[in-house]
Amino acid sequence: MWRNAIYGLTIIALGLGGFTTLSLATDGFRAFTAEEARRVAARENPEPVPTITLEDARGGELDLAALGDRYVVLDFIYTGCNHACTTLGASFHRIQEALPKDVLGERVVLLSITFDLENDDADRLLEYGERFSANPEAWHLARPKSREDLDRLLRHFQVVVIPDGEDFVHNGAIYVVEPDERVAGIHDIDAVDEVLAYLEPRW
Amino acid sequence: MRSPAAWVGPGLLAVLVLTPLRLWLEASLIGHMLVQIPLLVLAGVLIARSLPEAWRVWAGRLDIYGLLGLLLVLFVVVYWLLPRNLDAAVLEAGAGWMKIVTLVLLAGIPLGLTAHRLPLLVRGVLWVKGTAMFFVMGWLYREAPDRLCNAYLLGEQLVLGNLMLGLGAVSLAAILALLVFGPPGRHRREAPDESLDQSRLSQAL
Repeated sequence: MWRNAIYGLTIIALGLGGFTTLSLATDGFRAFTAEEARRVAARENPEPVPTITLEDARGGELDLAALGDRYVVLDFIYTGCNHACTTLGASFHRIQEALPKDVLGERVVLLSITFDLENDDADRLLEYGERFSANPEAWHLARPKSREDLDRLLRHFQVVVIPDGEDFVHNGAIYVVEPDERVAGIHDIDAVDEVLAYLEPRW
Repeated sequence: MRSPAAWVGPGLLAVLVLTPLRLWLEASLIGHMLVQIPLLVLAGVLIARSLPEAWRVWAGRLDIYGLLGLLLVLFVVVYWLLPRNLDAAVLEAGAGWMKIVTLVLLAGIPLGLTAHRLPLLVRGVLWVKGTAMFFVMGWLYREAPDRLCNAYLLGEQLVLGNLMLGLGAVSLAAILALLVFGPPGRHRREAPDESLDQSRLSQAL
């Protein structure tokens, strides 16, 4: 009799333990995918961007952390991309056009970072910028200086790039970096209105 | 001396973990979810079969109806089937090894030690629920507009969804066949009221 009671209680305990584990593993059943997980983490636990110096395609260097007195709208691209990066480029163009003159470049800057170190040199980045009429004052195009820097960046932002034949597939997103250098928002690649709605009360 | 059969489980595990097969299976969503994870559990089950008799007796005393083992297996397998954990298992070395260790030690071996104790009713419920889950998950993977795993392509997700729907359909057909024709191997001249013969049905399950 008491043996069965203990057996029953053990089953309940194991059930509760398993349920709790699954709950912890999914941020309270909110994030079942890695993409949702990093968005929840960015909203609730924003982390500072790594201190990495990038090569500006228009010459000179660009310190990721030093852009930090403004809001930085950031994405990772490669110029040979015909899918997500094209959408991202168009989204950035729309954000650029929607921002008031006194905000653009002053309170909010745009930054596209390539992850294709082999093919994307300064020329190709500038060409990408031209394709989307990037305003040179406000929309920076940059590449990491080394593979190590790139890997650090991608790991920090949890960008996963996998080859798909000739192309790359990557979890594209629009990142919003706060003036205090923390990544506070991760948005879909076409979520222009969402990004603007986030920025408007803050700039 | 251990019998040759005792080496099947450890052998399967070694092939799965130490050969290039691991990378090859993990390179595709289908290989990872539908082949590698079930085979890791199977390796654990086979290892459990060759464990000393005393262990099996001990496990039987601890878990009379096999329910603790079942719960443990379900939680561990569900944990590793979450898309974010599939991603982690591929992208982070630590998580990858953790997956192998837990699937063998906490899923396969408990299953091998206790599954034969599960009451017939529980097996039936499991089978029907499992079939339903294949349909639900298959539909989810098929219809998801975005990639669920960062490490895998969208196209594969669609194929996986279709495959799971197919497996669900096969499983459903087997359930229906069992209900209509009774357990396999039953002699035709036997009376119909024996179609629910407990031992036969539990063999079929």
